[in-house]
This record gives sequence, structure tokens and C-alpha cells, in this order.
Amino acid sequence: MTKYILQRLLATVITLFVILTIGFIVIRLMPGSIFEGYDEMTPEMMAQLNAKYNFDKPVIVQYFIYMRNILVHWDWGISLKMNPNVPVWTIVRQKIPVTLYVNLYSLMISLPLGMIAGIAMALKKNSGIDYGISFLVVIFISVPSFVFATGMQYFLAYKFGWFPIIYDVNAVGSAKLHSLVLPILALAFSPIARVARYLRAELAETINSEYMLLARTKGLTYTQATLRHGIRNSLVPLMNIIIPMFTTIMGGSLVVERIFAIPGMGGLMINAINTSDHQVTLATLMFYSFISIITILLVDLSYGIVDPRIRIGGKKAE
Amino acid sequence: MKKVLAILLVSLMVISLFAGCGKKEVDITPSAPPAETAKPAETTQPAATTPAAPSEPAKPAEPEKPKPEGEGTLRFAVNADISTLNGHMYSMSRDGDAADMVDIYLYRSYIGPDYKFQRLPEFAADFPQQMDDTRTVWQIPLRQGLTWENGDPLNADTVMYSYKMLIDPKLLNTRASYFNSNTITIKNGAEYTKGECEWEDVGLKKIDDYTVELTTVGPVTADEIVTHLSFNCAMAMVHEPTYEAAMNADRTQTMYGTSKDTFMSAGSYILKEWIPGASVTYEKNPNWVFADKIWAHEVTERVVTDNSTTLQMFLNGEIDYVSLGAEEYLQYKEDPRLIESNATSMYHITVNMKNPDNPILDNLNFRKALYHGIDRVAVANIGSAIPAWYIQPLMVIGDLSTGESFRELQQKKHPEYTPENWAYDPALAKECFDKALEETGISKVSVELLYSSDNSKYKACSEFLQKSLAEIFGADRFTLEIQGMPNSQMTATKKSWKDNPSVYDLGWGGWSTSKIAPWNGYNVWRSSYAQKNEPYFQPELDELWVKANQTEERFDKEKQLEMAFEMEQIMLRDLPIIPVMENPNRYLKSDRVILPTPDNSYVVNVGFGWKYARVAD
Repeated sequence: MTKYILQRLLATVITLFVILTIGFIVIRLMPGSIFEGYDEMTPEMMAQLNAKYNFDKPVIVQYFIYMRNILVHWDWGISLKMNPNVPVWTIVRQKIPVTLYVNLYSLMISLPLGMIAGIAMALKKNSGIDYGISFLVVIFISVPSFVFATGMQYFLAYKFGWFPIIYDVNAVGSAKLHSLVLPILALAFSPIARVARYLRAELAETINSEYMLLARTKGLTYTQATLRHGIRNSLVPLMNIIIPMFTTIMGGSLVVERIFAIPGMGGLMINAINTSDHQVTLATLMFYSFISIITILLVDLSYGIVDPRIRIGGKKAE
Repeated sequence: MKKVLAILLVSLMVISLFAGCGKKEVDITPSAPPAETAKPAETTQPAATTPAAPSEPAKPAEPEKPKPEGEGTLRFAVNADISTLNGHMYSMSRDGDAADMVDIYLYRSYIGPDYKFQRLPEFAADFPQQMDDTRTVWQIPLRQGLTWENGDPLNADTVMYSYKMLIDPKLLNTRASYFNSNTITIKNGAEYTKGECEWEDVGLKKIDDYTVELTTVGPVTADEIVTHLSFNCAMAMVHEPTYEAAMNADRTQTMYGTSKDTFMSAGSYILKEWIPGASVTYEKNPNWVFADKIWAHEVTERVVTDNSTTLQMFLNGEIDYVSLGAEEYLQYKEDPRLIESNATSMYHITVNMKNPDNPILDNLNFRKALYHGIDRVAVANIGSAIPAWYIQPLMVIGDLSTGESFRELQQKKHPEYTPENWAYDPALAKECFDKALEETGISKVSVELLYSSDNSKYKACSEFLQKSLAEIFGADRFTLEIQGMPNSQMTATKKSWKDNPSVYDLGWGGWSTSKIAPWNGYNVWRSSYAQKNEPYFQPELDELWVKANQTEERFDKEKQLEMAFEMEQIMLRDLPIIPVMENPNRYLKSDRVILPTPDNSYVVNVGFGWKYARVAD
């Protein structure tokens, strides 16, 4: 097991290295200089600046300098446009907490709510409850999160005044959570629907299996058998969708953060691309890549917990 | 092992969940409560040159008292955060707006007694004094008794240090050129930045503690010096101890102005709190030299990038004014809270004339066909803009002494320059197009127009041109392809024509120029301009620009203005760009805000004067 985890961690590092390398080369090969927006700048001054920041060197040399600074000094460079002279790592570090807060909260409420809805649909299959929730599931899956965000902001915040229109950056504790309810909900609707739909399908099949029949003949009620045995066996396939689900939430967060004025990674990435601040763009790219890869790793490791029959890192029987 | 792993996973999730539960995302501590401020004087006349009295020592916090009418908090939203408060390397216009709140300059633009543009000595005690007949040596007297927010004095050393750091050869600040050579050229400024001379050789000297002397390369006027020294936030003063404390060991970069802790205010407001990406709070500086012109005791800015969110905040009473985009304007154009002004920039289509893959772009008749083929009124309607057949925007002033605009003066002196129907003439356009085909021997034209995908109206305008131009020229003979991309990418694409001459055909562009020196803005179309968007080289324009901006002929204001008219005519003759429209400034304003001008008019280089507004508490 330990060896397997180490192997996976090594693979994660290699994957991140490849992403960083490709990202660096693609960004450096884009046309134009980072200093082109400074219209009054003389060609001599631009040449001096390019030399100062090593942009006058071949891309491969720039790449080695960049990698050396990260590996040896954990130096991701400085921003040249968004926050001139501020280390990129400092900028990213400021933005990560609120983004993780919003995204993880969305994920945390998505799983239980989605599971409750899925179980209810499976237990009441082909009933009014099933049809009603299924209708909502279709809506939640097909409508993008930013539409919910805009709609809820307009009705629940602006019209009814139940929530702040934007994230209250000065609030603490429950007030802070209160100002984040709408973005969290907007991001959570789609994952809730995905979990519910998936679990319903899995449970509907599991419920008809022989071991469930055995459980009921032993005296368990239909609901008890489902909750104690059916769900656990339906969870392994469900773990597979958590990966795209989390990345979907992160993707939706790019726009939702903008709508609710949340100073997180979403706005940082969009601004970095729009202002051609390459160092910041690379750092945000690495953040999203890191989150996605770590999510995959955690999900893989969790298989063994959900289903003891799965031996992580086990070899094939001789 | 599995239990341990399970506990580990759950712990990770919980730690991650609460990672954002801290009090704030950044370690910026609010400053002490604002000291009690005196009620502003009733007058709105330009202030006397004596500074406000020095501040009293900070008093202990007292219970909040009711504010006199007009001294409330001004609240608004901005669509971008401050990138830096270090004017030496600012990167966005937003930085200039913030610097205008907290920085002190030698000279400042203000609203004159007749509500027209006026400039006042701010840190300077008076306008520049000519010291010899060559008009190259000028002395600037400085006010005494001014202080930074921490009480440190401002004097000649402040000016010397601020400009020395701006053009420092090691720091290589991106805005050094604004001091070295802009409206005027400072002796040896550029040479110092290049490391070719010593600081002592630069044309800036300290005469005494409250006098500095400027030496320029050629003869200049006092007006030009004032324009140069108040041009933008690069020319603001910096606080030496803070600047030095934020400097790295090898003195190649400074963190000055990157947070509240690394910045010092001396302007109309003091930076009270800055939460990156989220909000900025300023409090009135009672010691500012023109403190009697400021009413609001506090100003708060929220960073909100989504336009509809900002509008909802305004309608909900959370902010006091909101900028309207093209779509919102259509919705609120009859609203009594609407205030608007002429435009400050002109939107045009840039032509890559020397594109080897599309030689028709080099044909003057083809460019004329485009110029006369654009229905500017229709395009402007789509973009809720003002049609423009000209280069200089409506806002630009032609005569500083009267405040008359460049366009008014052109209409008065050269009414023959003004074309009918905003230069839209489909018959003439078709005739020019036919000639272009004949001259180039081409039977069918296909060109691509780049537009900024950051703003939906450019797509709509491009689609209109795609359809309307094909109707005029004939769909079988003319095709306009359109291609959207982020604005920064489009700018980079256009500027890369030097390395890749066929990189684009046509592209939307915006041009914003000096609002008080129309003869200066054509600099970007001079042959020697380094960052040209299009391969346009016109010796006639080059020569005229030098005459209007650098030779002694410019001292004759009539002649200088005439040269500006001529340069515009050369541009409209050669058509390296096709002018299309101007984007006016439009806002919805809350009733709790009373602007400093009686008719809510826009003052050049000052704007609507929000920071001078009275705000009900």
C-alpha cells in the first residue's frame, strides 16, 4: 500500500512537471512581448527590460532558469502586469483559501444531498417523488452554474434581500458563510444532480440483486437493506464521477467568483490570461492541475475504504 | 492501515474546508479610526497657495458623531483591482485613478471657476519660473509645511528622490519614459536610464530645500512643463523611507505600493485599507493642500467585475454610482439619474497596409471604400456610441485659454473638412472599390477583421460591417471574415506585424490621446514610433509632428492648432486607420451624491469629479 502511494505520488510529480513544461513553452511561444502594452516605451528600454527578466534568452534557457528557481528556491517568479514586482507565490497564496472554501463547501454539500436524493429516487422508483426529483435533476444538470448564480443573485439577494449581492470580504464567521451561501449553492446544484442520478441508477440495479434479497429474508426492511448493504456497493462506481465533478465545480467557480465578486483563483486566472502576465498564468495553471491530480489520487486511494474487496496496489494472483 | 488512511483523508478534507475560515484572506490590518475632520469651507474657488494647518496628534477613538451634510461616505464599484500604487511601474488606468486619491503631484488638474479644466500647483507653490532666454532652464518653487501621512516633511529632496528612482537604471521602471521624454525632454534623462551618464548630469537639480530646477533639451513653455509633470501617476511623489525599505538587496526592484504596509499617502485621501482583489478604503486627508475641496470623509471601492452585479448593487443602494455599458444604457437612457459626457477615445479599424498576402490593403482606393462604406450611425447605434468620421475625440480641448474643444474649433475654422452623413457614402464607396479592383487587378477580395471578444458589442458591430459592406461591394466580390480574440491577444497580434507582416488584415482598435494637446497624440503614427499597430510611414506627418511639438513654431498657439488640423487631414487622406465611433462615459448617479459642477458636466483630466462630491450621510 505504501509503495503504491509512493508510486502514485511520483507519477503525480511527473505529470505536473510535464504540464508545467508544456504550459511554459506554449505561453512563451505566443506572439508579442509582455511589455508591448507600454506604448511610450522606447525600443532601447524594452531591450533593457527583456534582458533584465531574461526574455532575450532562448526559450530553452528561460525554461531552465524558471525550473531551477522553482526547484531550488521555490521561486515562481514575479508578476509583471497584474501586481508588478509581487512574487507570484504570494499572489496565489492570497487567493487559494477563498476558492478552496467555496469549492470544497460545494462539494461537501453536494455529496450528502445528492445521495439523499438518489436514495429517495431509488426507493420510490417510478413514483411522484422519483419523477419530481428527476425533473429537477435534468434542470440542474443542463443549466450552467452561472445561470443559477445570476438568477439566485437577482431574486434571493437583490429582490428579496435574503443574502448579500456580493461576497462580504470583511465579514467573519457566520456572516461570511451567509455571504457565500449563493455561490456555494450555485456551484453545488449540478454535482447534486449528478450524484443523485448516478446513485439512483446504481441502486436500482443493486436493489434487485440476490444479496439484497438475502438481507431482506434475514429480516431487514427494504429501507434497512438498502441503506446498510445497497448503498455501500453502489459507492465504488460513484467515486469515479467525483473526479469530473470536482473539476466541474472548479470550472464553474471561474465564472461564479466573478458574479459574486469573490477574490479567488478564478478571477486571478482570467486576469492573468487577459493581461498576458505569463508567470501568474503558469502558477494558476499549476494550481488547477495540482487540484485535479490530487483529487484523482485521493479518489483512487478511497476505493479500498469504500469496498474492502479492492486491494490497492495488490499484485495479480499467480 | 485502512482506518489510518480513512482518518487521514477525512482530516485532509476538514483542514481544507476550514482553510478559508480565517478572518481575512490577507494580512492587512486596518489603520486607526479616522481623526475628526474640519468642515470644508463653503468656497469652491481655487485654493490659496498656503497649505492646510499641520495635523494634530491622533486623538483616542470617540463615539461616532453625526456628520454635517455632504461629508458622508462615497461608495462605488470598480471593475479591476489596483495592480500597484507605485506609479513608477503602474500597468493599468485603474492604478492612475487610485493614485489620484492618495498621491501628491507637483501640479494637479482641477475644475476651474467656470467649471472648465484648470491646473493648480499642488506640491509646487507656483507655476514654473523661466530662468534664462533659452527657455530650457526652469525653477519650480515648492510649498512648505506639507507632510506625508506619518508626518514626514515633503521638500526638494522628495522631488529629487522620486524622479531619480523613476528613471533609475537598475530598477528600469516601465514608466521611466514619462519623465525622460514626453511633453518635454529632460536633459540626459534617457541617457541616465541607459546607464550612459551619472545622476549629476540629469537636468534636475535641487536649488534649496524648497526649489528644484529643470533643464530641458530644447526650449519649452511653462504650460508644457506643467502638462509633463502632471501627465499621470508616474509623476507622483514617493516616500523615500518606505521606498527604500521595500527595495531588494541588489536594488533591482522594490515592493513599494504593493500593499498598504509598503505605501505612504500624501494626497487628498489616505489609504486606510486595501484588501487585494476585493476592496479599498480611503479616508479624507485633512492635511492635504486642498482639503477644503473635499467633502466625503471616506471613500470605499469594491472590486466587482461583473456589470450586472454592479448595477444591482447600485439599484439596491449599496453603491452611489455605476458605469453603464452599451446594453445597460439602452435600458436606462431615459432614467433621470443618468449622467453622460462626450467620449475621450476614438474607436477605429486598423489596416495592416503592407500585408503581403493581401496587397489590396495597400491600395488607397480600397481604404477609401472602407471609409465611405461604413454606416457610422448604424454601427454607433449598435454599440450605443457616437459616430466618428474624425481622429480627435470630442473631448479633446483645442484652446486651453477658452476651453473650446478641438472639434468645435475645426468646425469653426475648417467647416469644409466635415463630410456629409458622417462620411458614409455607399455610391462613392462602391466607386472606390471598383477602382481598387481595377488598379490591383484583383477580381475578388477577402479580408479578415479582428475584434475584441472581451466586449460583445464589437462582435455585433463586426457582424453588421460583414453584412453591410458585402451589400455595397457585392457579396460575390467582397467577403469580410470576422475573428474574435481577447483584447490583449489582439493587441499583441497587431503589434507583431513587424515579425510577421501577414499576421492580420484589419483589426478594431481604440485610441485615447492627450485631452489638452491634440498635436501630440499623432505620435503613435510617426515613422519612428516603436510600437506601431500598423505599417504606416508618412514623412509629411513626421515633419509636421516635430514642428508642432518640438520646434519653436509651437509657441504660436494658432499655428500649432493649425498643424494639428493638418495632421488629422493627412491621416484621413492616407487612412491607415478607419475611424468609426466614440464611446461616451455614462453613469447612473445616486441622489445622495452632489457633483461639484452644477450640470454634472465632465471636466477634462478630472472627470465628473466624484472625489470632490458632497455625499449625504
